[in-house]
Order: sequence, then C-alpha cells, then structure tokens
Amino acid sequence: MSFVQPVFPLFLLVVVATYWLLGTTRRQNVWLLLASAVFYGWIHPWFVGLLVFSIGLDFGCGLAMARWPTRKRWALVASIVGNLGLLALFKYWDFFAVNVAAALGAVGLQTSPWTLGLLLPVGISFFTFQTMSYTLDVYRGKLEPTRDLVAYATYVSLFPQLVAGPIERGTALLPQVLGERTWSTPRFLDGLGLALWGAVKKLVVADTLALAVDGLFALEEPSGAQVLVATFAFALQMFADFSGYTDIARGTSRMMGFELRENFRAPFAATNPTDFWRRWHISLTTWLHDYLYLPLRERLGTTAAGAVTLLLAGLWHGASWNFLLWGAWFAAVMLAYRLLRPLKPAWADTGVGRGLAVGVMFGLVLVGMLIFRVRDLDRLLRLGSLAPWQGSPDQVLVAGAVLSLALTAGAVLWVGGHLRHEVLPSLGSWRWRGPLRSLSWSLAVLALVLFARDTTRDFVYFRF
Amino acid sequence: MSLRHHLLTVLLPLLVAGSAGAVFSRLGEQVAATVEVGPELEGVEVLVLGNSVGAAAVDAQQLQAVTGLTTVSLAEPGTQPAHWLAVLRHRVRLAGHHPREVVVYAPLHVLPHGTLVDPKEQALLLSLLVEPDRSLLDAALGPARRSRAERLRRGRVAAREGLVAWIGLAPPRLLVGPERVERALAAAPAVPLQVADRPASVPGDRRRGTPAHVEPASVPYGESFLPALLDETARLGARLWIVAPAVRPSGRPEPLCAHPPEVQALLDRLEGDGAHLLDLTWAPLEEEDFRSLQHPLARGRVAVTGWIGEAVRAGQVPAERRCRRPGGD
Repeated sequence: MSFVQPVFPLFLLVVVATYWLLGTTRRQNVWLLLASAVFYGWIHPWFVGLLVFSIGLDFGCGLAMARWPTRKRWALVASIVGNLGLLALFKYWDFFAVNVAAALGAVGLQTSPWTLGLLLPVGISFFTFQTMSYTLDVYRGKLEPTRDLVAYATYVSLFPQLVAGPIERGTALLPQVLGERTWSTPRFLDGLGLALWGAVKKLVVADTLALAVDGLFALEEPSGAQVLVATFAFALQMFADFSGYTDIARGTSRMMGFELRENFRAPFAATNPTDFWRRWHISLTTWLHDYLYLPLRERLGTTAAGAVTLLLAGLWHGASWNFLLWGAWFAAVMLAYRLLRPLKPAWADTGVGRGLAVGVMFGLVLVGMLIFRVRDLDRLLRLGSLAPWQGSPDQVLVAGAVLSLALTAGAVLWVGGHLRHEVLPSLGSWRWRGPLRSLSWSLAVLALVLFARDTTRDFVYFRF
Repeated sequence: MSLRHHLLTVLLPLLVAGSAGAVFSRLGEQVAATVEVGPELEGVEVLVLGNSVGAAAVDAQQLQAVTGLTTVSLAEPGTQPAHWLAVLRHRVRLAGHHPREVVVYAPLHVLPHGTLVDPKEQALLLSLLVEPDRSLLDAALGPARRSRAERLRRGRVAAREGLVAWIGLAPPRLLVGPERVERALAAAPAVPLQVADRPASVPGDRRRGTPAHVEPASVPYGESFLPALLDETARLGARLWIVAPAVRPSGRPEPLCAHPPEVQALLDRLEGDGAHLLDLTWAPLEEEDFRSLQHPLARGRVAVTGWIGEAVRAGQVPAERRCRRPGGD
C-alpha cells in the first residue's frame, strides 16, 4: 500500500482508532504488526515473506550474540551475508549479470547474461539496513538484544517507515516499541498536521512538478536552458516527494506515540558538501557514516573511506551506472572541498560569503540531480554538455514557464515549511492558535482535494 | 480559548469547504475556452479538420497552392467528431468565419464515434467552447455531466489545470505576449502546461501509471455528430468533404474499395445527406510512404494533398479518382 492510495486514509483511521482502543503495549504491538503486514503485502503478499526472513534472521542473530558472546562475530557475519544477499539477489543480480556478460563480450567471450528478472520488493533497501543496524548495535554492545519477537518485528515493520524510511536505529525506536505509549491530544494533532503537510508536499507540489519535469526531459532535443530548468524543478520535486513521505511517516507514527528521526533539514541551504549530507536523507547518511565510513576510515584513511562510502551510497539507490556516477560525483565534490577548505577566505563567513556558498553548493547538487535523473549515460553526457544559454527563443519561453512553476513550488515549500515548523509551534497557547490551525488544515485539505489525481505517482524512493 | 475562538475553529473549515464547493460548481458549469483558435482563421476558405491521420496527411500550404484558396488545417491528434463540431460551431461560425470547403480527414472508424469517455478529450472539448452549448455537451459528455458530483469534479479539474497553467504561463505571456507563448508551447507538446494538454483526472487502475486512452464507442449515424457536422457546414454555406484516408498497401481493403457493410452504409448515408466523399483507400502509394497504417510520410502526404486539392478545385471527385466499388457504380 502507499500513502497516496485513496484507501490509505481509511486504513490509517481503522489502524489508529483500534490501536488506541486496545490499551496495552503487547496488544498494540500485535495489532501494528498485523497492520504492517497488510500494508506491505497489499499488492504482492509474498513481499511479507522477505520481511519475515529479514526479521527472523536478525532477531536470531541478536539472540545468538547474547547466547554465545565469544562467537558473536559469526552471528554478525550471518546477518550481513543474509541481508546483503537479499539485496544482491533482488536488486543487483541482473545488473551485474548483464555487465559481466558485456565485459566478457568485450574480450571476445560471447555469453548471454544469466538474469533472474525478479521483481524488486519495495523498500528492501530500507528494511534490510534497519535490521542490520540492530545486529551491528548489538554486536558493538550499544543495544541489548530483545527477546520479544513481536516487539522486534514491530520495530522492523512499523508500516509508516517500512518502505522509505527514515531508517530507524534499534537504539532509538526499539525502546519506544517495548515501552508504554500514552495518549496525548496535542501530540496526536501535531502528528496529523505533519502528515497533512507531507501529503501536500507530495500530491500538490511534487506530482505537479513531475508532469513538467517529465515533459522537459522527454523532449528529444532540449536546449541547455530547458535542461537547467528541468533539473532545478526535479531537485524540488525530489525534495517535496521524499521529504513529503518522511513527514507522513513521522506524522502518522507520532499519532500512535512514536517519534521517528528527522530526515531532511533545509538541504538546499547547505553551504558545503559535509553540510549537505547532514541535511539530506539524514537517516541514510548517518547510517553509512556510523556503520561504513567510520570502520573504513580506520583502515583506508579519511579520503578513501569517504569516496567508498559515497560510491556505495550511490549504489544503494539502485543497480545502475548513473547511480554509481552520482556517488562518484559527490565523492569528487567532497574531495575538492577538503582540498580547498584550507584556502577559505575570511569573508566566506560573512552573509555574502555564505550566500555565495549556498549558491555554489546548490549548483553542485543540481549536477548530481541531473546524473540521478538521466539513466542513459550517452544522453546524460549530451544533456550535461549543453550550455544553459543555448537554445531558441521558443525553447527559452518553455523553460521560463516551467521555471515559473518551479519557483512557485519552491515558495509553497518554503512558506508552508516555515508556517509548519516555525510559526505554529511558536504560538504556544495563544488563543488564535486553534482557528489558525483549523484554517491552515482546511486550506491543506482543499489543496489535496484540488490536486488529487486519480492516477497518482508513487513516491520516487519506493523504487529503492 | 474563548467560545468565539472555538466557534471560529469549527466554522473556518466549513467556510473554506463551502466556498470551494461553490467555486468548483460554478467553474464546472462554465466553459473554459482556453485553446487559442482564431487569428489563423481570418479569411479561411478551406478548413481541414481531423485527427493525427489528418494532421499527417494534409499539407495546408500545398492544398492552398493547388486550390488557390486560403487554407487552414486544424487537424489535431486525438480529436474526435465532437471536437470538429465544436470547432466548426464555436470557433468558425460563431466567430464569423466563412470557409467554402470543409475537409474532414480521419480514419473511417472514428466518424461514428459518440460520447467522449476519455477525460482528456472531454477537457479539450470544454476548452474549445466559447459559450454554453447544452446540446453539444449532452451529446459529447453524456447526461451524467449534469449531475452535481460531475459538475464539482469538472470544476475541480478546471480550477487545478487553470491554476497550474496560469502560474506557469502568466510570466512569459506578460513578457512576450500570449500568441508568442502558445507558439513556443506548440513546439514542445510534451511539456504539459497548456490546459488542454494536461492529463485530467482519469478513473481506473492507478497502477497503470500513465492513463490509457479510451476510445469512444461507435453509435448509429443518427446519434453521431455527423448530421450536426453536415448541418453546421450547410449553415456556413460550405461543402463538407469526407476523405477516407489512404492506406499502406499491406493494409488496403481487398478487393479495393470494399468496405465492411456498416462502414459502407455510413458512407452512403453521408453522401445521401450531401457530403462529398473522396475515398483514397485505393490510392497507389508504396509501403514506405507510410509510418503507420494510415499516417503518411512526406511523399505520401504530397500525393494525398494533391488528390484532395484536385477534388476541391473541381468541386467533385474526378472520375479517374473515383473508387470503383465491387458490384457498384
């Protein structure tokens, strides 16, 4: 199931109402587990089998580590091999098979690729990373393994964050699953508001931009200006789409008393690559930082560890050369930043300097977005080599129209985000808070009704 | 919070919902008239209508050269007889244009199409009207269009598409004028900013991704838009030419000109009601003159336009171009 399916509000209503009526933590967890299985198996029930495998593997590995502490390394290896094997089988096998066959063909050994053609289960990259983080934390002694299988399964499969994160850690979410959740009306309303704002980001902003972005990228011979505007609009679409998902996930979880981690923090206001990765898809970047970068740094040093981490971050997104190139691009940007950082002038910390840094960083992010969007490398090269000022007046006009749409979308994101995260919380118990909130919610619902299309697009990150 | 604030908290959403409902309902009743058709029709003498087959097959400039008459082609991909009637009535007759010849070039199976079922086609029809046209809307959209729910749905879609198009197009239109912008957008049809080009709300399975086109069903001649088309051309004092498209050799009817009985009956009925029939299904073109069954490439287009020009100039189908039906005249 997806948050954008018309059935989802009804599903949520039934799940949340029953959840709070059940009363005890144990019953609530069993109910959430059932609801999550329905949510995940909605289209392909066999997906649930994979989830059960992943849950069983890491729950067992956690217990094994507690039972045989001197041999816990074997349990860790089993967890990593099992989870990465799952990813390799469903996500990467065909990519490697095709490329190995192509490489063999290049040296004169013609062979047909041994592909499996398996359907990629949604969210597999997210829940495998979540279960692995549990085993890694238990291995490192940061977390006591739980003996409550229902609670553990609920931690992994909690439906709001199951298919596209945020990737939660056992240390943060498991205690919440094991502990008692108490009803709080302000928290419930706050969660509902956050979910509503996430839906607006996705259905109003992202899906509207997507039509124009797809249209521009579908042009056979776009101009440089059109490519630039399409990439700019795509960056906003991606942000609205993914952060919209995160907001719905965090909002619906909050309605049930769970607090999920933040995943985005004004990413386009980043002043350098390090800053950007602290603001964009935070749950993945911190995961990679803690479990991959830090161990690698001890062996390879900072630069190589950073490059390997970013390359693997690219590969995490999908089995395609453009994602690897995307990782390589950000690795190169990071390397350049480290080399140039000592030369930073004093005025760089002034308002103008920071503004300039934001602009440059956003430009570098746009290059990454173009790589992310265009899978065909020949076309990517062709589009990337177009100068922004290239093109006929007609093409500039079309680009201008899409730019106007994108700038409006950006303004909606900024104003809405500001209202949601800054203004409303600052109102405290002001007497106009109630009417203001009901007005803003009404406008949000109106926007959803106005922009809801019967053929909605799934969230971009579902495919990862 | 005081009672006043509690009341406001409850009333504000009702106010927003009520206002939106009223606006959507009104918009659903209004006609959009958002497609620019007009300046190019000034002084038109030959008007070409049709779908993508017509757009590919008829070269307006060549037709003008052959006939010596000012020619405009409004053949557009994806259009149906309801759209051609809307153009003829709203953008031609009501706008005071007086073509002498109206040429319809489209696959024969499209001619008897009735109620539009594809929301995109419905939206296009609405965008062509310049004033309310109950008889056309009833026939083209079906009686459901009058229900309150349908009016709200249509108004919602119109409001959304209008808003998005306005946001995108207002700045460039302000800068260079609307005509210039329309021309630029026409060159980039994949970019959905014009209202009529945007996929409207499409019922069906959301997993399909892109909405599939839904063909209207064929209806009996009397319920189709063809009698109304003939009536509109008669009001204009023009002749209506129905052209049966040229077909690539591998898809030609065997024997030549032998149409299925229901198609033949339709053509006979049209001729009987005063339409001029030019059957090009016999046309001696090569396989490589086509990019699909009926969409000609450049050489085919030149030949087809030439034959149409000959007929229009002569005011009748030249004897040597007449299709000899098996067992017929």
